[in-house]
Order: sequence, then structure tokens, then C-alpha cells
Amino acid sequence: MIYLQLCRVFIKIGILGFGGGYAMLSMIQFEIVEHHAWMTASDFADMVAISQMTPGPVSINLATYTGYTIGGIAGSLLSTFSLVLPSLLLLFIVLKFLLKNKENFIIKTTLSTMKPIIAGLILSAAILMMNKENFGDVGFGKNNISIIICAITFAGVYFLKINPMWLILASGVAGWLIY
Amino acid sequence: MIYFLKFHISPVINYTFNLYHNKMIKRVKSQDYKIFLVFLQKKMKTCLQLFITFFNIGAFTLGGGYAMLEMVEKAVVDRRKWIDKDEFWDLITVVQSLPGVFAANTALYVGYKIKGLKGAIAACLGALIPSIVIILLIAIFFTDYKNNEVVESIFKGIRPCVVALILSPAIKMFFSSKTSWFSITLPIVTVALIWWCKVSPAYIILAAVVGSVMYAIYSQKKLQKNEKS
Repeated sequence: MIYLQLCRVFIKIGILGFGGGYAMLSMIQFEIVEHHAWMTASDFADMVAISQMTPGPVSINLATYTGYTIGGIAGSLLSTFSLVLPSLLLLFIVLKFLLKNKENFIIKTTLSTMKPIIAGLILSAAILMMNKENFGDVGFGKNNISIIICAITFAGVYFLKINPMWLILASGVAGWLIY
Repeated sequence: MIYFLKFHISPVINYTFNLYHNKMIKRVKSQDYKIFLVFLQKKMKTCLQLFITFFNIGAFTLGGGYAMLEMVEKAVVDRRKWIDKDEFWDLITVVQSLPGVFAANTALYVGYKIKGLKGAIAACLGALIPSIVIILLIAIFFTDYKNNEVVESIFKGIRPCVVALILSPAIKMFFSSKTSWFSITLPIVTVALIWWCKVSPAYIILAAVVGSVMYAIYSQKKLQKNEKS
């Protein structure tokens, strides 16, 4: 019955998880570490570090990893799809409605009013990521390489419109050479 | 001068061009699978392109769905020209205000917009498969991956890059909306609420939806009044 429980937990996280992977993190931790006690807190911290270090959305990596440790490969696939599918269905319904009424005045105005708020949401995610974990110990007279990398990448992506994949590869090589 | 060009240079160019052309034909003939690929691409071109595009993006998304935005915009708006810019940021607004995994939702929306249900499935699978496969491999074989020194140093370089990749779409998104004095205050208030007051993003999204719908209804009524008078 572990599979049913996995299914239920990740469907719940998928439906209630607003605001991307990092906002979901606390919810996943509550369910897995505190409520069901599938993992210890330190195991969970290790798992989060691994999911941040691998390509792909953090929440999907977390779901796949948890599912694998608890129920093998079947468990990992089950938990990933139960995380993704409910929100996809919801989006699908909203999408059909929106595309039908694309020219409606109220919908247009709502979207254009919400745009700056959502932009602020993404901006705050970026600002929250400027912490010690991501940038290391920076400041006057210290090792400021990470700030330089961040500034160069921003200029490359925003002004020069370089493909972000090249920038990720380049900064990876830079990190490998410098540290 | 023109005489010289016509009778001395152009045959040389023609000759080299023909040589190159013949070489190309030979190369394709020698590799039959290429013909098969061309056939496949013609048969389900857009779906395959969608799958490949999102597969590439999925394999390079580090640090959550936000960092993926920049790549999706680059591929879908700039390179393939499937969706125009304003429409793309409208779409992101909708996807952001719904719950769920952001990367999968974006893939579904873009795929559906371009090629209907088939496209949506292709794009979603493309976005999900690389991350599932990679994390499964790591979970099964490389449980010590995290403590590898080389991996550690590579990620020290990539993490600040990811922050910049999130910063850029936020600014682009803001400038794609009609800017006024009122709309400049909105993102600042949002950042302040999340950063200092530690309000959950869910409440902010809820407030944003309710507030925007009310504002839209209000401005519609205002418009109707103006038309009557």
C-alpha cells in the first residue's frame, strides 16, 4: 500500500504547490520527513542538494528520488506522474477556456495587470537565491568571482542575447578551472 | 571588368559549387539512416521539433523552473518564431498563477498552443524525460555524486549563472507589460512582501488574481460609461 500513499502525497503536493519548486520544498519536507517519516532530516537535506545539482525541475527530481528510495523504479515513475498530472489537467481546462475567450476585455486586462506582479514574484525568487549557499562568502576584499560570473551571465543573456545553454556550460567550465 | 568576371571567375565558382554539391549527395546516399530521419521529420515535423526543443531545455535546466524561462523564450520566440513575444509573457502569467510543476506546465501550454494535444504531449514528455532519467541513474548508481570535488567546483560556477538566468526573464516580463507609474510599484511591493515579510507566494497569487479581475471589471464599466456619454 506504499504505492497508494506515494500517489496520494504527491497528488496533494502537485495540486497545492503554488510558486515553483522552492515554495514546494517545505511542503515536501513536511510530508516526507515529519508526517510519513520515510526519511530522516539529514537524508532529506542530502536529497535536496542532489536535486539542485542535477538538470531538471527541483520538485520533479525530489519526487523521482523519493519514489525510488521508497518503492523502486515503479515508485519513482508513479510519484513523478502523480506530481505532474493533476496540475496539467487543471492547466488544460483553464487553457481551453482562455484560448476560446482570447479577445475578451476582462481577461485581457486581468492578464496585463497581473503581469508585473508575477514578474515581481520571479524577481523575488532570484533575490532569495542570492544567498551564501549560491554565492559563497562575498564582500569587499574577498573572493568575488561568483558576483563577476553572475554579472557577465546577466549581460550576456539580457543585452547580447547569447543562448543560455552556452552560458551554463561556460560558467561550469569557469567554476571547474577556478575552484 | 565585367568580361573578366563573366568568363574567368564564374566558371571557377560553378565548378567548385558542383563539386561541393556532388559531395553532399554522396554523403547522404552513403548514410541511409539520414534519409529515414528526413522522412520522419517531414512526417511529424512540428511534434518532433517540439520534443527535441524541450528535451534540450529539460536537460539543461538547473535550479528549478524559473531558470528555464530564458531558454524557452530563446527557442520558442526568437529561434522558431512559434509564438510572438507579448503572447509568450501572457502565457507565462497564466502558468505562473496556477499550481504545479512549472516546467511541465510551460511545456504543455507551448505545445498545445502550437500543435494541439499531440504537441502538448510531445513537449511535456520532452521536458520531463531527461530529468527523470538522470536522477534515476544518480539514485541507482552514483549515490556518492554529491561529494565529488569536480562536481562541487563546477556547480560553484553554475549557481551564480542560474541567478542571472532568473533575473533576466523577470525584467523582460516587466517591460513586456504596459509600464505606468502604478505598474512599477507592483513588482516592488511583491518583492518587499516576499523578502521582508516572508509572505507565501500562494497568497500573493491569490491576491493578484482577485485584485486584477476586480480592476478589469471596474475599467470595463468605466469604458462603457464613457461610450454612453
